[in-house]
Amino acid sequence: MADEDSKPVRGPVEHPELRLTPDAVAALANAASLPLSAERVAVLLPILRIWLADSAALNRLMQAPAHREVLPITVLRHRASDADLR
Amino acid sequence: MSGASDLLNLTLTEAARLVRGRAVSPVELVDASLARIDATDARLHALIRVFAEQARAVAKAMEIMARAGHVLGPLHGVPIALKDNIAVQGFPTTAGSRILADALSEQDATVAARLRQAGAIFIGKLNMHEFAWGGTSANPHYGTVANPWNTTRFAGGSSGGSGAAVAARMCYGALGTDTGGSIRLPAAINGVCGIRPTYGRVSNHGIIPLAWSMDTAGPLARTAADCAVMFNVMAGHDRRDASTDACALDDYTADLEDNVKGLRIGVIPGYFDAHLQAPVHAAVSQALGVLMTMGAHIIDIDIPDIQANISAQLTIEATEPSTYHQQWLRERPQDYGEDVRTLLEVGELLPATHYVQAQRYRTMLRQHFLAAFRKVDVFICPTLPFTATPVGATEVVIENGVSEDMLGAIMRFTGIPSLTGLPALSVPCGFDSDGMPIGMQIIGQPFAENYLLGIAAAYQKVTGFAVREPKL
Repeated sequence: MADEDSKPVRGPVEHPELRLTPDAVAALANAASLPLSAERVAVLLPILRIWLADSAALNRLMQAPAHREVLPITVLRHRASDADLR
Repeated sequence: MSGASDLLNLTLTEAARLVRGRAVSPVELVDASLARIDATDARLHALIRVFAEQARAVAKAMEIMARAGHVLGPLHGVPIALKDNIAVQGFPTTAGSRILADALSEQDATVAARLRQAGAIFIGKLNMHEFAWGGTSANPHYGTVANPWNTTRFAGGSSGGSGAAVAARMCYGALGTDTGGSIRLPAAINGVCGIRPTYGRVSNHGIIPLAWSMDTAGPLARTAADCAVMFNVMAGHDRRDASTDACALDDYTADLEDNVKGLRIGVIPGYFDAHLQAPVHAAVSQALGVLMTMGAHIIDIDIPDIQANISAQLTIEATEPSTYHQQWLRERPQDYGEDVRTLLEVGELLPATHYVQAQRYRTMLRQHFLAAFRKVDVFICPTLPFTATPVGATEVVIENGVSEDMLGAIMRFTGIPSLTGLPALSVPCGFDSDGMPIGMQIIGQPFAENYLLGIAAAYQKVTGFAVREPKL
């Protein structure tokens, strides 16, 4: 079971590097309220294709059932000394 | 001392000792540093601002104090320079940008204040990659920092001015900041020592952020012992930085050179020793051999999913800066250099879930390393898989004649401590056939900076890389 759990989730594997188009980048920028000219979209497109493909692979790794309990490293931690602020 | 050249070749530790003993005046040290800057910085572009007048005035006051037997601290009278994303009261903190060119700082950053209280004389503010978002220090606003060992090669970054200034003997130590490798990379590329502290060991208050969850500040100097002197002053809790830890501090200058016998060195086979330029592989292998002759043991350790660290790092290091820069990116995009503007725009478009998965990966990677530290005391690997590339290069050939993107190649080894928050030190361990320096990275357990400094100091005692000087 442990071995099975450590495998990445199977299923339809996305390949953003194949799907990403200038229109898709423009739509993302629009959703982020970031004005981007067509020239800027052309600059970003090849970089995003690679980065999103790599981070999608990281996503698949972290989706594995074996990693389901893993918290982000940035979780909030209170310290006892914070109580002194009251 | 017989002349300025002799003064400049002193280590920070030696210079501080001679000032305390009144054998050398702070005025002599400052004059020697300023003369060196005058003679070389037109070629190196290591400094954005030189505090000539102020440094001379402070040096005169410190000379009088030293004569009267009053020494402020372990850095009394020693010229130090600071990366220009670290605030110094009364001067702009540009972060290497046009956007902050006139941003006057009203108070010192905590690390600057601590160095000042220990007697350091600030000689100037150092050039850097714009907003610390890059590894070349090819700065479109303040000039490209050149490597003192060969001015046609890059100086690394983002603390490129810090590495170049120390190597060129413009100052005895420098402050840098390190998010994805920005202290260790220029330390390795310029042939000096640099330490990235445990996340939370040194305050970031008063420093322009790059990526909050990975940002650190640390010293660069010619020797590990010099870094230890600076680190003693810098480290510790700061109530103005909630990320700093209140745990007890070590005396980082104690027990130097005493940490190698019986040392268990972890290496990750297939990762730490793979995909390296041949001279880098040879130099680090030789360095491991030296440490083994001193009593260390090498232990192979497997870290699962280590290859994913570069993507995690790029995702976090893209997203957090883009958050900080949101307003300027919309209002003044033309004021950024092309490379930084592009990275900030890319960071705006990465999905939030990708960012959080990267932060979850960090937890997992940290757990793997903490578990491995039951079997080993430190990990050792190259700081970088390659030596300094020509100025302006955006790609690098590591092996088999294949060009690859330099940003990912830079982060291959330096990203591991950045993601895990572990301390890491780069120490010079050789030169390639072109005379360009090679660095070795030592990664330690949380808050074990004293251990790293001790290993590096012991290694430097039996190797001669720290005394070699670039010909400028």
